[in-house]
Amino acid sequence: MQCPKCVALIPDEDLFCESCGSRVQAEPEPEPMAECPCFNGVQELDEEGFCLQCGRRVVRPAEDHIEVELSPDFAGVSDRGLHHHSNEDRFAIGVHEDWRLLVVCDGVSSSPEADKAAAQASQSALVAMQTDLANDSGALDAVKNSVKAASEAVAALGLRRGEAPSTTIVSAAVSAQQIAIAWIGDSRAYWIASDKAHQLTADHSWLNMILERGEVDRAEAQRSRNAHALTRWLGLDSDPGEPDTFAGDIEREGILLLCSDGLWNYADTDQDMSDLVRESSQSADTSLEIARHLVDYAITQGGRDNITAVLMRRAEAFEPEVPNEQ
Amino acid sequence: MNNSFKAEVFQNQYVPQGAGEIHAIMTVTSAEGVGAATSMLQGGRLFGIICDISGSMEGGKIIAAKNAMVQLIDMLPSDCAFFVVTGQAVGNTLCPMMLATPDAKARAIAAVKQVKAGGSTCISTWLKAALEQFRLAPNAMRQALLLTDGQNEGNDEEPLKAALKQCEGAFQCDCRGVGTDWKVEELRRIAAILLGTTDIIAQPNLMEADFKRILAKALGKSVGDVSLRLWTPAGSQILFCKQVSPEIVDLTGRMRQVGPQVREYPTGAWGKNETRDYHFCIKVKPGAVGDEVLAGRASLVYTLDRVENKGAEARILAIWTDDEAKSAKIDRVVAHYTGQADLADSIQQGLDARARGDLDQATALLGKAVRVAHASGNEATEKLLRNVVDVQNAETGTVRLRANVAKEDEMALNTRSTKTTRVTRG
Repeated sequence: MQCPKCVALIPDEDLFCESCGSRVQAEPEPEPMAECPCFNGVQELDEEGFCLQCGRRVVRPAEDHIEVELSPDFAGVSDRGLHHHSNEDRFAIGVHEDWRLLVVCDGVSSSPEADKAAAQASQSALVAMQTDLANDSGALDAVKNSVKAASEAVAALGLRRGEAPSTTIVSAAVSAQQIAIAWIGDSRAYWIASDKAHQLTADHSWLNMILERGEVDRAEAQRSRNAHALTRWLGLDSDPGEPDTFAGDIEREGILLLCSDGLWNYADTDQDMSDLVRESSQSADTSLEIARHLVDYAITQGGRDNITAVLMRRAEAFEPEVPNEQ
Repeated sequence: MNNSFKAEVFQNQYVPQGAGEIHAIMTVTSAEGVGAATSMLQGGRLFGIICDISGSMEGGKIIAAKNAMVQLIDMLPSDCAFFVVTGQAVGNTLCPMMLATPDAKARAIAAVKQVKAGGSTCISTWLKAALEQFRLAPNAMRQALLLTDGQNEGNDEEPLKAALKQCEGAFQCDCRGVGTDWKVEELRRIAAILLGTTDIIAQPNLMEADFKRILAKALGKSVGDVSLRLWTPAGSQILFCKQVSPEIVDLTGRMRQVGPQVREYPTGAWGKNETRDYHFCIKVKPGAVGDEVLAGRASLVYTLDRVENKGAEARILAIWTDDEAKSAKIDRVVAHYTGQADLADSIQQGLDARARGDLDQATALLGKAVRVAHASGNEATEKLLRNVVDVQNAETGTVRLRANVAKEDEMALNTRSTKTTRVTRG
């Protein structure tokens, strides 16, 4: 893992960073005694947290709510939401020199082991970006290759009962002046600056496909049950092809937000998203707090899907920290 | 850790509000090296031959049976023990248990050659004679083959029931009926309790090959007395537990309570690389939307070197949802085996109706069977059905009863109706 303070790489199990000395992990808490309401007291649980008296799940999996904070400006939150049985969104964030790297994957819930697909894809994409940048590739090549690496990792999962574990992906690399994004599916990237949100990605959805053909108007297409159906995804059952990409120079100050549809479903227009992020920023000091606000907002709106928000905030005084990777 | 058995569960975990009936199929596969190598088998192996030599066997059947027994004895490996029981009004232990040394085999073969047919059929006494032998080797892998050609005597009904109760768990037995004068239900009942298979040997000349197959299968078993253990939550009820592949065997009534929430069902001996599917139906207390409950935990247990081994643990879950799109989906493996069980029922009831002369009912049921067999790709059963009905349209199940049906075709269809196909999987 990386030290959230100095970004040095340290062994996962360390409690303190050997470079800067700061505490990186809370002291391991003693396992909470499980209490199942069936017996008004402590019950024996099986390895996955089911009560061995009444069968009820007493302990939820850790993936229900994931938070990662690499710095006060750089963090992500993913949550199961209210309606899905498990969290099949995953994200990965990391650093390479002055690049900040972000990946969000939304496992396709109609496919088997979608959580595994999303986890494999996000981790592989991050590692691929770090490797490419270390080999002096350009940012655009790095994000494109990261989607390819993710695609291969998902394909390697093979089939489950004839069906392919599948996921979306949006992969981004951002530095002081540049931004590069590659994506397949409907997880989005936004650049939010000066109270304006710019969606940098275009969903691979049925809605967009129909609109591109120009056969129907937007309002009518949006009413279709298929509107949100994916037209492209990563998985052994589809040839994902080349990802779509975005690359450009950006303003100095702003927030790069990557999110799954569990968030943008409740803030579909750029204006809505801009308002939502601004509102969330007002009462928050760090990217982690903003991300928590965004996720909480989606939950209060119904939380029908898994929700993931990953943010990289760039303030006026943005100076790329010099990572200490030794 | 134990990885002799692997399990996979197929189910739709999503349950609509208010419902509590959970269906799941568990596929269990034994690994390459399940149990110990044959020579290391604790207690060794004991194979019993139980052969009908009543008067009805006279002629071609007894000649074929004697021939097949000789071949069988000849095939036995020298580290395997065996015995022979011949059956008439009483069961006679023709050769008591002995190791299959060349000398012992020669003596047994000589004894078999002396056998003459005569007398009546009281299967209870045959089983009891076999039981006596099996009790001499309680730690061996205990398997038998029973051959008969006729119905059991009417007055042996109660004794047979009692004998089966005694034999249950003491040994496994495959049953074969030769010719067409035996009763399918009777043999099926014996085989079910003794965890064996039932089949027809229509012609005596097919006996030898069939006996060899049975022995080869028996010798391939490497771990005996395996039980299926099922934990269920307090207040739940197991509505049924069936083996559904390779054939349907209802284990519900075979349950043994081993703890307040733990039950075991016998599955007999397993060979390596064997795959069987089990269908559980568990009724749990309906939960609230969003609740997640462990409806069952299944595993296989067996004893090796006096140590209990447990493997293939699998979970059956229930998650209550108000999303109908999720709860309405039936898992295709569950659907497949529900269909296969339905197919077996349709065939057995259809043949019953035909025997009673209720031709409309018979046509409807056998037509349905043709449709299900066709749709599920159960070609073996479909072929057997075509011996009994003329199929006009297999997809719709439109059939006409055949006027002249060979008795052996009808019996073959009946005995093999419980054989299922496996669902195609990726």
